[in-house]
Amino acid sequence: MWKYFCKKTIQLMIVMILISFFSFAIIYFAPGDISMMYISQDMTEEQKANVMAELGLDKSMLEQYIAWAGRAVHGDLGVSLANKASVLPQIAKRLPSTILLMGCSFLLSLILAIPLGLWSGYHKNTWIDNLISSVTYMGMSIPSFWFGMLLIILFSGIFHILPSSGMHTVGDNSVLDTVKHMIMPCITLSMGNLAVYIRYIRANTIGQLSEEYVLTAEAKGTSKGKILRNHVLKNTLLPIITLVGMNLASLVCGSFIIESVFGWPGIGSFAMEAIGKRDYPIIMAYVMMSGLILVIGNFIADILYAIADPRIKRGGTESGT
Amino acid sequence: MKKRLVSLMLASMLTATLFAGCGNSGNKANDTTAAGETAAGETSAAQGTQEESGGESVFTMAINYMPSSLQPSSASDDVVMAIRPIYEPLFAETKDGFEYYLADSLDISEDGLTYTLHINDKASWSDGEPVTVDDILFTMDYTGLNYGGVTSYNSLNGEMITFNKKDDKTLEIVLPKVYCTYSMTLARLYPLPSHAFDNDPSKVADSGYFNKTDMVTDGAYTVSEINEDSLVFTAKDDYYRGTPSVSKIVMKTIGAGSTRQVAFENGEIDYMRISTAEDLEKYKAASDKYNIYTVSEARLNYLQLNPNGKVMSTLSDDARKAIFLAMNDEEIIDFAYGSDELATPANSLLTPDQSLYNKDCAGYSYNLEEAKKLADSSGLTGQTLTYVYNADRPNMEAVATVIQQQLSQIGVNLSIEGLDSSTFFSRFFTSADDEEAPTWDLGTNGWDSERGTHAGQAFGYLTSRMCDTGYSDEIVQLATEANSTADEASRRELWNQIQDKALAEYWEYPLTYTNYIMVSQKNVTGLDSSAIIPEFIDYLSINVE
Repeated sequence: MWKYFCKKTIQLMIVMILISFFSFAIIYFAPGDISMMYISQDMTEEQKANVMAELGLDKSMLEQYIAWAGRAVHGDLGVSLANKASVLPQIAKRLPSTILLMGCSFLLSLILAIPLGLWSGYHKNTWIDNLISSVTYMGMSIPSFWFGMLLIILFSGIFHILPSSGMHTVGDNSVLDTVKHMIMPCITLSMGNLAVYIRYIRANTIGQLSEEYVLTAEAKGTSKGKILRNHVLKNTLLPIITLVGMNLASLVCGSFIIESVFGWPGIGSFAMEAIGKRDYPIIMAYVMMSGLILVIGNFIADILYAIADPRIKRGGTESGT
Repeated sequence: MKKRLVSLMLASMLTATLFAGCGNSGNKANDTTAAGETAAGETSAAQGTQEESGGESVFTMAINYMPSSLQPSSASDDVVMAIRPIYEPLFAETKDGFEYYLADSLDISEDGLTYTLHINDKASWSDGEPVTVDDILFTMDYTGLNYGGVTSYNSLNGEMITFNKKDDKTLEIVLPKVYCTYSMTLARLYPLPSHAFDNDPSKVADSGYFNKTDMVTDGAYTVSEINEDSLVFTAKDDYYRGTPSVSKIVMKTIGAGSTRQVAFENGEIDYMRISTAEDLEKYKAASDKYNIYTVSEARLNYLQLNPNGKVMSTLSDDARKAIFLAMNDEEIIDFAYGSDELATPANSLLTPDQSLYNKDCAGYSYNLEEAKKLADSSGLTGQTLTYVYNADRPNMEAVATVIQQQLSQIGVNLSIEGLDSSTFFSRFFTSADDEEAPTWDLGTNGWDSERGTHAGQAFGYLTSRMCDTGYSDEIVQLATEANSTADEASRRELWNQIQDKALAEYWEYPLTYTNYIMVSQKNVTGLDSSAIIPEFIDYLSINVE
């Protein structure tokens, strides 16, 4: 297991270096830079050159990358070119809002997906399975911004029961108020995930129900509920570990679209603003954070997989299959 | 057992995330007794957000995103809008002269070289310290830190400007040469409180000072809350220009697209901008519930032909003329704006908000037959040109579509590219030696804040200071001379000539003068009393009944 851990750690480092290099290159070669914010028509060529030098944009891509990477390995993610403030505190300030929204939507998806997926798989090809499947197809097909707008028009515009935007009512810091603001973005975000999870769990349930251990349990007279809960559920949740790992990045990186539609003050809208301004220290911090967490999420998923399923060990060398 | 432990750990982590952000970590100076926003569902939509609590009136407005700092700056309209209630410029410009804020006079000597600026004796920071000349010089020094010491505040084309502090409230500025647009530079300056940084400009960056509610302000309001998604400003009792009738200003991030409209109709915000004729008609029809305000945006939207464009650079003067004669600005307004209340046809490269604007400037007249002849004879027919526009600006996509249709009538194909602001500006503002210069042939852009007693941004473009605009040496010399002429009558005469001659060279087509239309809840008045965009430079005029 130790060797497996070391191997994965080295892979993680290589992936992070590659992610940082390629993201830096993409930003560097993207048209436009932040100097337009500082350059005015009254400036001489010398003044314009000074602005570029002050922003560090006069150097080659490799020089800029090495300077950035040198600071980043020491934990210094730089200073925003737009507001001259350190990047890290700005990200840290917005992180709780994003974790709250994404965490809740993630939790909601799981809580609903497990029973619905099991139920659908158990009642394969019945009307209830068809109904759940239809809803999941819709969930996967509906664009999230459209669904979000639909909810806003319905619950804010017509029924006036939920606030349309933001995270708090000014002057009201209660948990209840935050929950009210969170309902619509949370539902919108959950729709897509929910549909995917249900499909996975349904497919696994169908597979597991044909296994011999289910037949044995039935022969012993175990109730169907118990078989599903105590035996099938555990095995169907294995692929969910992978999905959890992959979703860990979105947990802290937020959603550009949903945060924009609902005016949620999270990391996603913050990064979108930075991309619009070509504020590369913030973009890089965002990309590195999402990349790191995605890779770590997969890493944790791999480890959990190995723990949860003894057949999966050390790259499959001891696979029992 | 191991699996159970892991499951428990995962479950705990997820539960922790649920409550991680529940507590409001907002930065507050004191409790807000007057709720600035009415929670949806708690009141009817018609009531709006102008609730009064303990006699306090609240004005709630939407912002696109939370500014990362409230440091006064004119870098973007979003930032200017957010800081307007708390920080003021020295003065603003109108075609009739200066509209004073922190300054109470700006005298320009007859030779146009000496500017004497006097700061209002009563102007003070919220901690009681007076606003002084030191604050202005400090701000210029701070700006210099970002620009290698030389800025448009302290130099003109490399020649240094002299500053003489006459007393705490009087600053004499001596220019090395007459430069009429220098007042535009001064109008953009928002003084920083030098005493808060021990008069050391290097302490401003990364100080976090403008992220705390105890920052001192010189505007009508102070900062009382900085929340995750909103800002709350409270009126000062001792504001030097009077007492605002609105006690609290709430700025709240509201989602993009139709979310803002829903929030407005739901009463969560007090006003919003209207940019389509359909919305205008809709809210006009509900005049018992809403007020409509129209102010000039002092903006010229124009079409630029790129002298370095891959195809355009090969075309003759007649080809450019053919393009402009094939364009019908009335049709553009009808299709792209849908109402002449949103935009009117432009006849000059200056706007009616500039004193030098010549209403008799002929502009371009639509003449399709002549355009077809010129297109044929010049070899323009059958050419494909690349058209770029800023997709972040309202109505620009529709304008591009109409122009594409109109030019197709003379056999010109347009390949249209909508770009985000950063990409657009980097491609649009190019000179011959830039790599991206040949990548477009024509494009639409706008000059905003074109108000005052000088030519504003038009001067920079006519002299190709920002990018190559194609004008002849004669135009460049005339514009340079006009901007260096102190005598008002002579300057006006020169600009009358320039407005006509520039159009005769067929490089820029003045498309529209746009209006900024706002709709407010019925009990909100005075939004148009301060007709300077971005809104609102003067909060004293706003009332919430």
